Amino acid sequence: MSLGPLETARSCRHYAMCKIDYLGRGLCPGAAGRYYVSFYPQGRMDLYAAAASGRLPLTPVLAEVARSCTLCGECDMQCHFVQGLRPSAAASALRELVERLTGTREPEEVPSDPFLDGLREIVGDEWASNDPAHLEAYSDDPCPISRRTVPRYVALPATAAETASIVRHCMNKGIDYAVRGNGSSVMGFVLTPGLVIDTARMRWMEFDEEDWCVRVGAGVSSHDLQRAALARGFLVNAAEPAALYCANMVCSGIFSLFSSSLGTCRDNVLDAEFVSPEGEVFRLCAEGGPDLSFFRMEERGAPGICTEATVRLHPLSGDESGILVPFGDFESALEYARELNASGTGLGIGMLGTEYLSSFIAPVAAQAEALRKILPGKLGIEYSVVVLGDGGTLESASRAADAVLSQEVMRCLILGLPSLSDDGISDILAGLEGDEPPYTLLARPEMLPVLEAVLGPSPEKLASAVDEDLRELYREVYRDPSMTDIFMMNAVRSVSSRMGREGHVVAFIVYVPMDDAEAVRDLDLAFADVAASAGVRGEFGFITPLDRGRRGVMEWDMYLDHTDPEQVRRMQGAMAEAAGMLEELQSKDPRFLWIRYLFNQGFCRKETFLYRRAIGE
Amino acid sequence: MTAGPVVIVTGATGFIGGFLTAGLLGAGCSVIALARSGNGRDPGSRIRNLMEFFGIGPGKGPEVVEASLDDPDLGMGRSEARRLGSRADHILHCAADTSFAARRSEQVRRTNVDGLLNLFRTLGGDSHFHHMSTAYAVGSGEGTYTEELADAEGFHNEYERSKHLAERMITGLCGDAGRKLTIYRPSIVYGDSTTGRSLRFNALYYPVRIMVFLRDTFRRDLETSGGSRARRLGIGIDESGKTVIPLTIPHRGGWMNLIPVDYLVASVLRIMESGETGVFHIVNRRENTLDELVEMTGSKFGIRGLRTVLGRRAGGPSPLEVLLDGYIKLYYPYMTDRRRFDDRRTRSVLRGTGVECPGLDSESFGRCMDFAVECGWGSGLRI
Ligand SMILES: Cc1cc2nc3c(=O)[nH]c(=O)nc-3n(C[C@H](O)[C@H](O)[C@H](O)COP(=O)(O)OP(=O)(O)OC[C@H]3O[C@@H](n4cnc5c(N)ncnc54)[C@H](O)[C@@H]3O)c2cc1C
Ligand code: SF4
Repeated sequence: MSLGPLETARSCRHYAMCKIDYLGRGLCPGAAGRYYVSFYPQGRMDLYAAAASGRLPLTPVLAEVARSCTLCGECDMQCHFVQGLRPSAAASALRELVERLTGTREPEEVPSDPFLDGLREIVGDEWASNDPAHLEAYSDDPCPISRRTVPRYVALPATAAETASIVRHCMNKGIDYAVRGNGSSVMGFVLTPGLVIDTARMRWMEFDEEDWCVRVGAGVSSHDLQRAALARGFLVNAAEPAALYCANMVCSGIFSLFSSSLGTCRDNVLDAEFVSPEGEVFRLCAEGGPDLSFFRMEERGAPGICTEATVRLHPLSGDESGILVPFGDFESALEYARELNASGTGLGIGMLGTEYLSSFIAPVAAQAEALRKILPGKLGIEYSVVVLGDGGTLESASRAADAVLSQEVMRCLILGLPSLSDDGISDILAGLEGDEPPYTLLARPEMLPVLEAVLGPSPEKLASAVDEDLRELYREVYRDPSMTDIFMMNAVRSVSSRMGREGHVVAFIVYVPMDDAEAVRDLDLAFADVAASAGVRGEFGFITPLDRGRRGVMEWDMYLDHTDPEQVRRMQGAMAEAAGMLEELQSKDPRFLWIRYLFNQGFCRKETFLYRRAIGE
Repeated sequence: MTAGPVVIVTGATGFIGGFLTAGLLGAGCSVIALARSGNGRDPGSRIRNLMEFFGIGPGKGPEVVEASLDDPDLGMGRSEARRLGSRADHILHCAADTSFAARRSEQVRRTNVDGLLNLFRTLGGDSHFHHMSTAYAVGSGEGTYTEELADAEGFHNEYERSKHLAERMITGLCGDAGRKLTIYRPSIVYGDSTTGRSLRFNALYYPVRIMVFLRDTFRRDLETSGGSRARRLGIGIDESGKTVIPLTIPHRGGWMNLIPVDYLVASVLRIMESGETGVFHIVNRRENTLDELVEMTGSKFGIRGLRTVLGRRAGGPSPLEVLLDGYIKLYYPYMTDRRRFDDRRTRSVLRGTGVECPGLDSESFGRCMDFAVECGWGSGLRI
């Protein structure tokens, strides 16, 4: 069932997936060359929600945004793929609304002021604005503890020099500012009543394949960087694809499944350029620059605005692939992941709960919901460990596992998913209760032809799960084998934001002692208690081992419908409760660290927070 | 049975407990069903659906009390449980975990042994205790077993062991408390021999269900998708329209002791009514062989190519055989059984009642399978 335009607009999660071409089909044509968020489907949705509730005056920008929509419908595929939403309904409703309004009056320009004039002098007229339509798209995010805050200005500098001038201009005029990447941190960090500095225009990359590194401007997304690296036979440690690489570095230092071998934070950055809060440009590696390598156990502001970073490239052998190792319990999965990492096996390792696995492989929410029951209930899969690496790596990882779902089996399951519940194969497997859990049957290589016959995997089969008018598009997308390639799915992370499809995610990220399974499990159970007592849905997300399995990074998620005030209230309670629990835990046991303290310290060396006792923190 | 005795039944939402509850109600007993939530339904609605299944109208079903044998006080509080226990003339304990898988051992033991202890201690009272056990509580030997507590040596699985331990434990508890005890040991129970109706579709049913599933899957492949996957596995359609599924089940001879649930219910009711105590085997003197079952499956569902072989298969298992093997391994002891059960005591109670155990033939097999297919192998039941 599709939502109406207003409900659609209000449901946008602000994960910015419409700002990256992750399906390789092109971006919203109405946004081409315009950079402001308001021109992307996400912005159009926000503008429609505001305009429909009478919050937005008719201005030239509102009219331009509305009219720039060609009604091509491309955003429906892009957004449906991860969020199940169809923004074109809102974009087209916005167009209609604006046409109606312009029929009765002329759009009214908002007068400039000296501060804006100053900004325009720095970045050019086009790239600074106080038009309420632009500002609206920078005014809110679905974080349950942030408040809608409309900025007075937005500016999009193209260079470090422009950025530095803007910062000095703000200092001189006493205007607060917030730096914004793609806003997908969704924690209210990028909201300000002053100026939003949107880094989107600093979108450039320079590869140095000789020295295995790449310079990226602050406007480059993790997605675009990863794609470009893969095309050259390299991998970067990137995480959420819509996150801008520099923003993600500053914000959390970037943890991903690849962090198990490639590390995190400073491990992957050779150098970076910043604009200091005083408006000076400095480099990380330059003499006399601030030393950001030490973690401090305190809430810190950003060291400055990161305008570029020089990022490590990791060469690939070309036969990278992935497997999924299923488990019936938490401890066994954790131990397997830890041991792999301890032995240095695996380019990427992640232990997933059924929540992630179901959301990632199911094309629509209803199937994810069914899978969430089938995986544990019928197949005995409570947890799974994804292992990524070259052929040799995967062979070693397979030898160490009791049952392995190979790339072929996973492709079969993904493309045949609609039949996994419909045709009763999961019932059959569940009932075939042997001494081994049912998933071991799935893992037997001899079973693949049976599985193929039963599930009939194909892009057509997968597409049968979605609305009829989207089927052809899904068929096309899934004809590309990389969409079902476990390595590529994790490298490009085309499906990771599906975790927010059934509700906005509030993620609790904690560095944990991976070598103490009991302590990690206790934390998992403590989160479950918090969620249950607050009446919110919560699930274990994933753990990636770090530093040879001695530590790990764990994500535990709680979900809400951010448009429902009652759910927002309950989530606020859960967040307060979880915060108290985590503060107490990390003060008693320095092996744990809540990521909150790492914010803005992403350029530190990981050892300084993984072993904070060692540096006296 | 004399009019109106009060019987507490555990496991009323299960297969045997469900049919016995209906049987007891039909015999004029007041039944108190101890049940818990399951399959997303509360105990009340599960029992309501059960009564609907048996055509027992509203108001004519049992009194339902929510209870969990996993809780030491059955989850209802001790004094409440005592009050309940004191109302009963009989307690018929049918709740059990019937899993044969080693990885479920702990749960099986918890339910079948600890659960029984919780039940007995918490309900108290002086009612006649009726314990539903299994013929296979005698252990994994060969030869003929008599209707008495056995000194078993080995077991095929934790289910057998837990049922053996439970028999010993309840015998001691009832002896100490001076309470009457009857132990029922049925063999493998399938649906009603006259109507084909059943509430569970494992044991006899499951391998059949798999064959039907494979037949339907590969016929679809052959008829609508070109059939390459079917052909790769040697599956086809013969000139008479039958589906050919080459599949060999290795075995070691022996037999399968199967009784229909209507025979079990009639026997238990007669034995309860007689007031007799001790052990009763409720078994079939006409066992079936694996060959007979394979033959019945093939002809009922239009499948050719299924065969059994004494000893080992030549070569490794085919993919289809892999699918079946894990399951069959667990049921192997029952499909190729060499145990016999002397049921003289049961027969002596049944003498003159007209109650007799029918053999499983292609007609009753057909009725049972028709019902199974009709209700989607249980997925259509909401219990
Ligand atoms: C579905 C989902 C999954 C995610 N998974 C992961 C994950 O696996 N690993 C991970 O590391 N993160 C993950 N994140 C978090 C997210 O990727 C980071 O918060 C990232 O920083 C967001 O990038 P952005 O460009 O949207 O930044 P924004 O949200 O725009 O900004 C984030 C913060 O960085 C500041 N900032 C932005 N740009 C700059 C700059 N150039 N210089 C200085 N400060 C700046 C902002 O002021 C803000 O405080 C996930 C987020 C989502 C929504
Ligand atoms: S329909 Fe969607 S993608 Fe197409 S122009 Fe409009 S907003 Fe952009």
